[in-house]
Amino acid sequence: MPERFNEYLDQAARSIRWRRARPFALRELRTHLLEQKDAFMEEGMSEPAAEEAALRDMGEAEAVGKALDGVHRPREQWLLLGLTVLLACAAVFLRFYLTAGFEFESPHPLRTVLALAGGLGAMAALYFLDYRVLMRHGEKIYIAAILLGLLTWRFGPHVNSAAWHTRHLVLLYPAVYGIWIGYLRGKGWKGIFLAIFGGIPLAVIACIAPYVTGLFLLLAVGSVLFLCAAGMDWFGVGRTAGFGMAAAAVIAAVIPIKGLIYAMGRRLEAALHPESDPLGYGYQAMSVRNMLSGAQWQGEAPVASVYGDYPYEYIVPEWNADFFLTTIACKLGWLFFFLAVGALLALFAFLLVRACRGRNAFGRLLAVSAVLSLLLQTVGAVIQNLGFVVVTVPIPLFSGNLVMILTLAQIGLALSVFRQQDLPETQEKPARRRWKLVLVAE
Amino acid sequence: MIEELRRRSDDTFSLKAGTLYPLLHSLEQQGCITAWEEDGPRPRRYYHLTETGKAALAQKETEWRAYAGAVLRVLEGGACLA
Repeated sequence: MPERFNEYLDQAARSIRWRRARPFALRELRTHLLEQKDAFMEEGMSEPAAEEAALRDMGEAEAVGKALDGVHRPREQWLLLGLTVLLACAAVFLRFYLTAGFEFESPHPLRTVLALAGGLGAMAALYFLDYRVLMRHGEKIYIAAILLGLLTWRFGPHVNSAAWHTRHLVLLYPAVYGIWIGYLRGKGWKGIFLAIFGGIPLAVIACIAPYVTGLFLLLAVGSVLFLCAAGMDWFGVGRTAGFGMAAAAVIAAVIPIKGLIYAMGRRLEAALHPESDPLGYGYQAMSVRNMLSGAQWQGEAPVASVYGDYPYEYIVPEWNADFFLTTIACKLGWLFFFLAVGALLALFAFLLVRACRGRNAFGRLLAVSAVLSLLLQTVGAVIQNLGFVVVTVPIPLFSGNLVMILTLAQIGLALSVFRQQDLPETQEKPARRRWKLVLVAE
Repeated sequence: MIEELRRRSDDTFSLKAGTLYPLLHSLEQQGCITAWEEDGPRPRRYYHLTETGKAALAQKETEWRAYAGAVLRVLEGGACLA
C-alpha cells in the first residue's frame, strides 16, 4: 500500500467520528485506490503519476470522510434506554412501597439501590460494547459460563437445597448459547455437532442447580436459535441439510422434556386443579387464587374469609418476589397489575420484533436470545401470578436484586445490537498501534 | 459506475469516486440496495437493487418526469405578461 494512500485514508478516517465504523467505511476506498492506480499504470502512466491520478479522482480526503461520517453513525436507543430506566425505578419503588411495614421481608435499602445502580451500569456497559467482540471470544465466554456455573454450585450458598447464584446464572445461559452458536459460524458439520453437544453442559448445570425454569428457557430459546441459525446456513453446510440436522436434534431434545413433564405430573395436575392437593403442590396456587378472588379494580383487596385474621403477607408465599404481581393486584388493584404486566410485555415484545428485523445475522441471534428469554419469563410469571403454579418463574425486574441486574444486562445486550446494526457482521481485528521512532540529527 | 454516469450524461455528471461510497452505504442502510462481499487481499463489494430499491427508483422516476415535463412546458409556453 503506497504511503500516500495511507495518508489519504488516515485523513479521511479522522473525519469519521465513530471509530468502530472506520475500518468498514474505508475498506472500499482502499481497494478502489489500488485498482484505479493499476488501471492508470496499464494505460501507460508511471507509478507516482498513477497514484496522483487515483487520489485526484477520489476527491478531497476530508470531504469524503465527512460524507462517510454522515452515513456511519451509531443508532442511539435513548428512548428505549429511558423507558427501561423508568420501569426499573418503578419496580424498585413498588418493591419498597408494598413491603413497607414488613421489616424482614422488605428489600434491603442499600443493597437494592446498589443493585439498581449495578444493573443500570451493566446495561450501559453492554450498550456501548462492540457486541461483535462476544462472537470473536465466544469459546472463552462459553467455557467461563460453565466454570462459573460449577463454581457457584460447589461453593456458593444453597437455599432450600438449590444453589442460589447458579440458578440466577442459568438465566443468562440462553444468551451464552446464542454467543456459542455465533462463534461456530462457518465451521461446517463440526460446528453443527458442537452446537448440539455444547448445549448439554449448560443443561446439566441447570439440572444440578436445580432450576427447571432455567432448563426450560435454555431448551426453548436454544432450539429457536439453533433452528434459525441452521435456516440461515450459519454453519455453511447448506440450508436444507443444516436445518434438517437441527430439527432432528431439537426433536431429540423433546424426549428429556417429555420425561421432565412426566416427572412433574403431580405438579401439572395441581396447577390446573389446586383444590385436589390444597396443602401440597396446590397450596401456593390456592392461596393466590383465593386472594385474587377479592381483588378490586383499584385499591386493596380484603383478605379471603378462609384465612380469618391472617394478613396477606403470611398467606401467599414469595409474595415479595416471584409472586409480586399478585401482590400488586391485591394491594393496589387490577389496574396496576395490568399496567405492570402490560409495560413488561410491551417492552419485551417490541424488543423481540426489533431483534428479528435486525440486518446483522449474529446481532439477530444475540438479541433474540436475550429478549425471547425475558419475554418467556414474563409470560410464565403472569400465568403463575394468576394462580397456575407449576414451577416458580422469576418476574423480570421485579423478583429481586439479582433478577433486576440480569434483566437490565440482557436489555443492554439487545440495545447494543440495535445501536450498531449498520456495522458489518464480523469485526476486523484492531490494528496494532504503530510506533514510529524518529531520530533527529542535531 | 461513475464512468457509466459520465458517459450516459455526455460528461455533464462527472463525480469524484469518493462521493459514490457514502451514497451506496446510505442506500444500503435504507434497504434500497444490498451488497455481498468477496474476500481476498483486495476485498470487493458487489451491490444490487432490492425490491424496495426498484419501487423507490420507479417513484423517483415518475416524480422527475412530472417535474421535468412541467419545467419544459413553462419554457416552451412562449411570452407571457408579468
